[in-house]
Amino acid sequence: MSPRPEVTIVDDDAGVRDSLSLLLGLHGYAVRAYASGEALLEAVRDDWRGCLLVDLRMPGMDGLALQGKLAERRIALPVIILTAHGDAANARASLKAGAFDFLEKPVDDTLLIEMIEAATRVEAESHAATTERAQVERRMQRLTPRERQVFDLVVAGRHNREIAAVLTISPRTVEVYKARMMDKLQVDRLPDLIRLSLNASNGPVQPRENAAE
Amino acid sequence: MNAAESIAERTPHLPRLQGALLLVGYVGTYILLDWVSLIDPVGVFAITPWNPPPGLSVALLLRYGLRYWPWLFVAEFLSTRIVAGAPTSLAVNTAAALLLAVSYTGVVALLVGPLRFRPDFRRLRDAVVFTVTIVIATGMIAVAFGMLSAEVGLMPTNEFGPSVVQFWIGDLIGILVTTPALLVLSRPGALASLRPSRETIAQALSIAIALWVIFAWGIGHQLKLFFILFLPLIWIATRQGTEATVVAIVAIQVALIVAFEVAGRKDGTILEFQFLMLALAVTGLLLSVAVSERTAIERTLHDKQAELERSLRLASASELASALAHELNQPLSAISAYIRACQLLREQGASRDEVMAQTMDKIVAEVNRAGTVVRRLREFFRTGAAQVERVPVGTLIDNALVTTRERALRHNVTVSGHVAAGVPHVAADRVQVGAVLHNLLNNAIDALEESAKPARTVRIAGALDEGGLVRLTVQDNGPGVNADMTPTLFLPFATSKPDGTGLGLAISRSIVEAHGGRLWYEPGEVGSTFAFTLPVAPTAGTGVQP
Repeated sequence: MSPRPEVTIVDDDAGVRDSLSLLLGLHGYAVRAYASGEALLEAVRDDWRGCLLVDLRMPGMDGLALQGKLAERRIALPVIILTAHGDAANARASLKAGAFDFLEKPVDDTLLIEMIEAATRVEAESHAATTERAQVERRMQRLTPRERQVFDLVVAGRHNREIAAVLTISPRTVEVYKARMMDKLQVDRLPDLIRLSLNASNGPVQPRENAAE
Repeated sequence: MNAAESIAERTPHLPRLQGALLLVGYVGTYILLDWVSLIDPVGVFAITPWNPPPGLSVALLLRYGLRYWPWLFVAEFLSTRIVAGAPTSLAVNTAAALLLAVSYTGVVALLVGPLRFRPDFRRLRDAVVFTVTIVIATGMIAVAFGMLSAEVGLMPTNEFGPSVVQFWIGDLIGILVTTPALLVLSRPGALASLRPSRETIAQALSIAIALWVIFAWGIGHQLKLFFILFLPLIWIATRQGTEATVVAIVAIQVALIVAFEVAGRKDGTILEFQFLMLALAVTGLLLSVAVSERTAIERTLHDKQAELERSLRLASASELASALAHELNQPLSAISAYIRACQLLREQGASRDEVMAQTMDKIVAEVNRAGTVVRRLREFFRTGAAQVERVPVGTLIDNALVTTRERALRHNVTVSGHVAAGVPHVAADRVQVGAVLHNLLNNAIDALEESAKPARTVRIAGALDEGGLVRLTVQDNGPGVNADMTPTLFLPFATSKPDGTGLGLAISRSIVEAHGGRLWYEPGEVGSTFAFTLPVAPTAGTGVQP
């Protein structure tokens, strides 16, 4: 985990960009700032963390279009949209397109910090889940075919004796495979094994459960 | 909706008492008119060269509906017995009255039915349909009446032709003079429009003078001088509307008849006069209805135009408000973030004083920026009334270049300005014409956005045009205006841009036209060219450009 949470600002207005960078920097964030969606897309990398703060109304690519491009690139950073007053229709559209939330300019800084914290937290949880899933996948790949069969049957709730019957091996041998399998997966107890199996079979973790209402 | 329904809708159902009064009034007036118009009667039916009663009947049916048709019979029957002194048997009298009543009812039914005549005489079409129908119908009725008379042996064969002609012309002119007058004057507000003015008094006088001239000469010259009456009538028809014209026609007709009575009649002359009177009445009626219709259309167009302009102003105002919100929110956002940052910096102590000083400078800069936005807004509204001054063409172009420089750069467009040598200063409102140039320039940059050409250029040029005007052109090398957009290019709300309002060119054109210039599109081989003209400033411009 990086020591300072990251925020990336995309706004065509130099004053807004500079002031938000300063303020968020003072609040302890590591801030990146870009003047357009195009510039951001050129710079963005998979290992970026935290959240995005995007102005809705920009010449060239606007906030909505940028959201679309990010989704295409499978960059799952939560996006907070900044709008001018009265842009409610566009703000709604951006929420529908999966924005984390939106804020009206001029921005209330307390609200802004709260929203960034929430977005960052969600992103961190999602990132942790993704990382754990990747680890589990890696460990699972180390299992031999036989160990994998035993894993599936154990997770399905079969007893050793039944497993032995299915695989036509002795219950003792099942014990051996099971011990080796649990060792490779770095779990000690059956409940941990079950949780691990659930995690591995999950789909990608959503940044927010109701993001795509 | 069929014709029967439509006339039922338009004709009022009168309360019983009013209906009775109407009918008593109708029959009474009919008999009275028949009596006063009893001049030069021919034959036992007293056929006269001016017979207004049928005009009254036709007006009654057109105004109050076909259901009153039996009263036409009653009126004619009684009138023959009273005015003509009951010269025939009851049966012949009944048959003649029935023939007339049924015929005129048929004519009205034909008018309001298949011919879709509207009895308010507001459209030229109605006046023409009415005139033609009455000319034909009265001719046929005259022949039928003559045949009936001959059948019952009341008309000698040698009198048949002249009698039929006299009947025809008498009824025809009676209707053409009386019916439009009654119907037009029963339009809402018709009588109020007849309020006398200096002009109407002069017109009435001119009619009187024309009549005097005609009758001051001997009878022999009267027919030749009749044309004089056309002059005041045309004057009235073109200037006063249908109401005054129908009144004038009635007045001329009555005056003619009275003059004949006073001057002593001469057989046959009055009939010839009535032919001329017919031409006069038809001319006056058609001309005045045509003029009124055109005036009404112009008024409607004018109202529509005013409405459109109002909505244009509203639309541009709402566009302005939205742009303003965006423009003001940017510096306000920055200011609020900077101030919060200053508070945090202060908590961190003296070590951050320098950053804090810089931040405060930035706050001042953002406040100035907000101030500029507000000032621009004030200028926009102040220029509601144009402030025309002497402006060098170069200044106008330079200002436009400055305001679009950033945008041109961003879109990789090269914008250049050229002023030909010796172009004089123009008389223009700097801000308004600036808005026009800005708009044309932005359109050009928009057009170039879709251009695949490596070199995107816009050229603004000022040169002397013919007729004391300076022509400014904005030419790009983009794809040009789509052929199907060109006809509607300057109409409000016509736009090819997904988020355009379609107001830019419409507003630009009205600004230029308010300056006394023109704005147009010149299709060319490459790209598109918009050009507009501005008048040269009146004070001796030396033509030296800055």
